Amino acid sequence: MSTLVVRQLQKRYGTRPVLDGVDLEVPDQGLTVVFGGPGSGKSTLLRVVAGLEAADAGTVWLRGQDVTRTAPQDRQLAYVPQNFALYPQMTAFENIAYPLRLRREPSSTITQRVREIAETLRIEDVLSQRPDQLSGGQKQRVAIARGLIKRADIYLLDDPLIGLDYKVRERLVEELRDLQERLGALFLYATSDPLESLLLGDFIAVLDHGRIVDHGTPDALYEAPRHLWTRLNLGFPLTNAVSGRLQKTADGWQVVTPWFRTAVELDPPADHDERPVWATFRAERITLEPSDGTNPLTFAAEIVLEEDIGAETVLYLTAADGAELYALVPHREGAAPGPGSVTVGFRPDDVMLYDAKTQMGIGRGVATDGRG
Amino acid sequence: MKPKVKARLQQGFLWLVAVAFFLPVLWLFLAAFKTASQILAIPPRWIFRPTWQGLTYMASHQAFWSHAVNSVVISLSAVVIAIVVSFVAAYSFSRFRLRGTNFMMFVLLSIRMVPGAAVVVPMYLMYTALGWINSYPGIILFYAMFSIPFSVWILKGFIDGVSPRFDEAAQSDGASRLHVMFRIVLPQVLPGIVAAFIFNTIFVWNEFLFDFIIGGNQVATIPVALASGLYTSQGIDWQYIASLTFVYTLPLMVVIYFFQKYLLVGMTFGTVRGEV
Repeated sequence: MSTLVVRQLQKRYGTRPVLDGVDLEVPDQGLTVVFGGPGSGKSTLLRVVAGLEAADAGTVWLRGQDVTRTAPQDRQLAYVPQNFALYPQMTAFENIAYPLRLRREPSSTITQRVREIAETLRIEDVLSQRPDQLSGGQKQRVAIARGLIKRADIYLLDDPLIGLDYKVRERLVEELRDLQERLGALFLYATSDPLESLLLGDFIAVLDHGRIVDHGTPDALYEAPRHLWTRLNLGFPLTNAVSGRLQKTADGWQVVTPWFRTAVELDPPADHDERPVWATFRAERITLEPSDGTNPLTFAAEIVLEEDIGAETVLYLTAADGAELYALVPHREGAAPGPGSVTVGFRPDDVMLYDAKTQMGIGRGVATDGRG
Repeated sequence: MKPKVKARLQQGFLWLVAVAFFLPVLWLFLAAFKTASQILAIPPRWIFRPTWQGLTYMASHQAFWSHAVNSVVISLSAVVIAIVVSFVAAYSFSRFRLRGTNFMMFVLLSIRMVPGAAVVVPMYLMYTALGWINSYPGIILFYAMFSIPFSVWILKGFIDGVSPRFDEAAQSDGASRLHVMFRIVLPQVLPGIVAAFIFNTIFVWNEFLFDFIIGGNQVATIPVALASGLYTSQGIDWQYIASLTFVYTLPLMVVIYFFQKYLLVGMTFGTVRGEV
């Protein structure tokens, strides 16, 4: 059994289920990301594990012990909450030192450890200030320092980098990775940011509507997500999806959408009917005006907005039926920015299919010609 | 009329009203520094040579010291007990939100709504049965009980204003619930504690009826002394009354002057906090 296991966790707020039978066994080593959209239940899951909320049903196991009814202070966890909750009557130094004071660590150890973590998080110069004198970013870093200063074998971090500016986030992502490797502890990190999930996670659990719908390594989840939500949201920009229908042909199955049709390979191969599906393809696999036949699925679209992000450009497009889609293409040197018609192309084997009802993956396109 | 003149006139009128209200207090304060004959002089003497005679006369009374010490000890002990109990109760009401909390809060406050005269006889019978008449623990507990509902109301308002996220952060840092209450939440509701303290101290300091009925000589406070123990063979001892009233009123005047904003908090059950 791993150090942190949750079994069939359920939690409702009023009549709304927030956790709906969550099962998760967190790998002992490495950093596990719980990735989910706002309201998916990430924070609630971490709060239940930390003991700050009681589950309606299910169990939490830490280090082989059932701690479902154990008080938070007896769970021996380090927890960084999403909100700062810095004690206003204490300086930043005292806030950070607080968990160590509770453990009655010697003063010299406290001072040394606070200085170390303050240096890591670049807040050495604000240690003597009170929370109301700090900027939002500084407060957040003080809160992170307070959560991380305690030596523990389990660290829970609830979207701690949310709202920080890009540079600070980038550095803190690196620092958190380093820290995790140095401590060799279990890190459970909740975030709604797909890039943060892919950068930080050794393992990702995807939470949607209170259920773990997908889990695996970042590569595996990026390449072949089992659930539609993961496919659409884990990446930047968001993955494109068009609704369609499976159709039986003499040679096998094909998917028919308003934008294209193409032969598909279903998994499992049998037991399918002509059901509605979502056909998805990634924004970065799209090419514009394909001419060499490498991207045989093509259709016309209108550019609505063009966002230059340096070496690449994000295009916001609408297809003929008015549906929106995204494309991530290399920087378009010399192209006229703004509205215009383009032909969008991608490979059939970039298409992944999801059952419209269950939202689970049921197959992918095969590399044959097909035109809409 | 020019606006400036009008404003001056209005201001002058307000001063006049304020001074009129202050006149009895002023008369009392001046009387403390008069001789016995000057106090009763008609018309009242506003200009006179101040004397310490009344205050030294009062200090030479053994009873004065016992009444003053009783007032201080009983007021402070009752209010301190009330604040500690109320803080814990208010924290529980605020954080655990049991079913029926609002009704319980109403029931708690209702004890303060009952007129003293309505409960003084049952209280006397109860205290007699318990043997608590004329005892310090008896009178202190009574005043603490009377101060608790108000303090719970005031403090709950303040504790509601402290996010439970602080409690959670401290608990996950390893703090016990008691530690959270007294080390994390308490420092954040100090203005409420001060407001409850001031408000209840004024109430206990001024209370006469219950100390008179369920108290006794041993625990008599200054209000009881003022009303009952001032007759000498020559009649009412006005010099003693004037000096005692001065000494009795002065601490409250000072406290009220410096902590007026907290009185507003008390009078509105903590719902109006102003600059506190």
